[in-house]
Amino acid sequence: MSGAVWWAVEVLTRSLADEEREAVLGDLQESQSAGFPALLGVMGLVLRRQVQTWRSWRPYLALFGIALPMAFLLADFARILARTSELYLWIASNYAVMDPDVLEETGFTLWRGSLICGTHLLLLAIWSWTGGFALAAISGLAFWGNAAVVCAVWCLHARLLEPNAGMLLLWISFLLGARRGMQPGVIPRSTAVLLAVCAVALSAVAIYSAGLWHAGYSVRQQLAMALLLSWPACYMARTSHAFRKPVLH
Amino acid sequence: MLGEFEYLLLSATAALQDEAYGATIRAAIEETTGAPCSIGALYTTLDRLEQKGMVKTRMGGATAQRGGRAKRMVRITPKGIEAATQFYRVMRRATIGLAWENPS
Repeated sequence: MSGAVWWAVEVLTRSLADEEREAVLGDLQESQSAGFPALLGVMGLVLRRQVQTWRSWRPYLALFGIALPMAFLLADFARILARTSELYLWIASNYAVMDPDVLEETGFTLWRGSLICGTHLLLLAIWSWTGGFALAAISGLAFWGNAAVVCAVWCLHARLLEPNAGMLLLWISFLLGARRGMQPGVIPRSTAVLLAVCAVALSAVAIYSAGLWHAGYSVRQQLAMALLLSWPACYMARTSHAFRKPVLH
Repeated sequence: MLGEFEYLLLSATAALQDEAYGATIRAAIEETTGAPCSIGALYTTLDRLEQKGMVKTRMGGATAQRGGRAKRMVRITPKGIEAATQFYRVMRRATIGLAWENPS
C-alpha cells in the first residue's frame, strides 16, 4: 500500500474505537490489501460506524448544544475581540500624544481596555477549550462529524470575513480541549470547577463592565449567549471526579 | 433466520477454529465466494452476530506480520452453531430435486 493511501487509512480509522482500529489496521497489513480498494473498504466501515453512532441522542446534543452555538458565536466573538484589541493597542502605542481628557470622556482608557481584552481573551480560551472537551466527551465516535461542522464554519468565517488573531487562539484552545476530552480518564474536579467558575464569573464581568460581542445585543441576549457557551464548562465540572490521594497503609 | 453473509461468516469461523480472526475469515470468505469481501461488511456483521450471541470475540496477540497490531479473535457459540445448522437444513430442503449446476 502506498504511503499516501496508508496515511489516509490511518487518519480515517481514528474515528473507530481503539480496539477495532488496531484489528482493522493489522488485518490490512497482514493481508497486504491493495491500496484503493482497502481505502474504500475502510471508508465503508467508518461510514457504517458513524451511522450507528448517530442513532443515539448524544451526538445530536453535542451538535445542537455545543458544536453549532460554539462555531457561530465564538467565531464572531473572536473577530470582535481582535478588532477591540487592535483599537486598544493603537491607543496604547499613541498614548503619549493623546489628550487624556478626551480618552476619559470617550471611555477609551487603558485600564478599561486591559479589562475588556483580558477578560475576553480568557473567556475565549476557556469557552473554546471546554467546548472542545465537552464535544469530544459527549459525541463519542461521532466527534469527528461534529468537529468537521465546527471547522467548516470557522474556515468559512475566515474566508468570508477577515482571518484574525482571535481565530488562532480559538483553534488552539479547541484542539487542545478536544484532545483532552478524547483521552481516557477524568480531569481533577478542582480544575473543572475552577474553569466553570471562571467562565461564569468572567462572563458576568464582561457583560456588566463592557458588554460581550457588540452593542447590538441586549444584556438579556448576552446572558443567554454566555450561558450557551458556558454550559460545557459546567458539564465538565459536574462529570469530573474528585481527585483523591491514594491511601497509604 | 440468518442472512447469507452471516452464514458465510459463521461457516468460515467454525472451519478456522482457533485461527479465526478478521484477516483469515475475510480470506476464507473470498476463497469460497470468489468475490472480494469488504472489511466494513465483515466487521459490522461480526458485531451484529456478537450482539445476537452467535459469536464471541476477544483481542488476541500481535504478530510482526501485522505490524505488531492485535487480532480480533472470533469464536462461534452453541447458539451460532444452531443458527448455522438451521440455515443449512433450510437451504438443503429448498434445493432437493433441483440441479442448478446441470440444468436440463
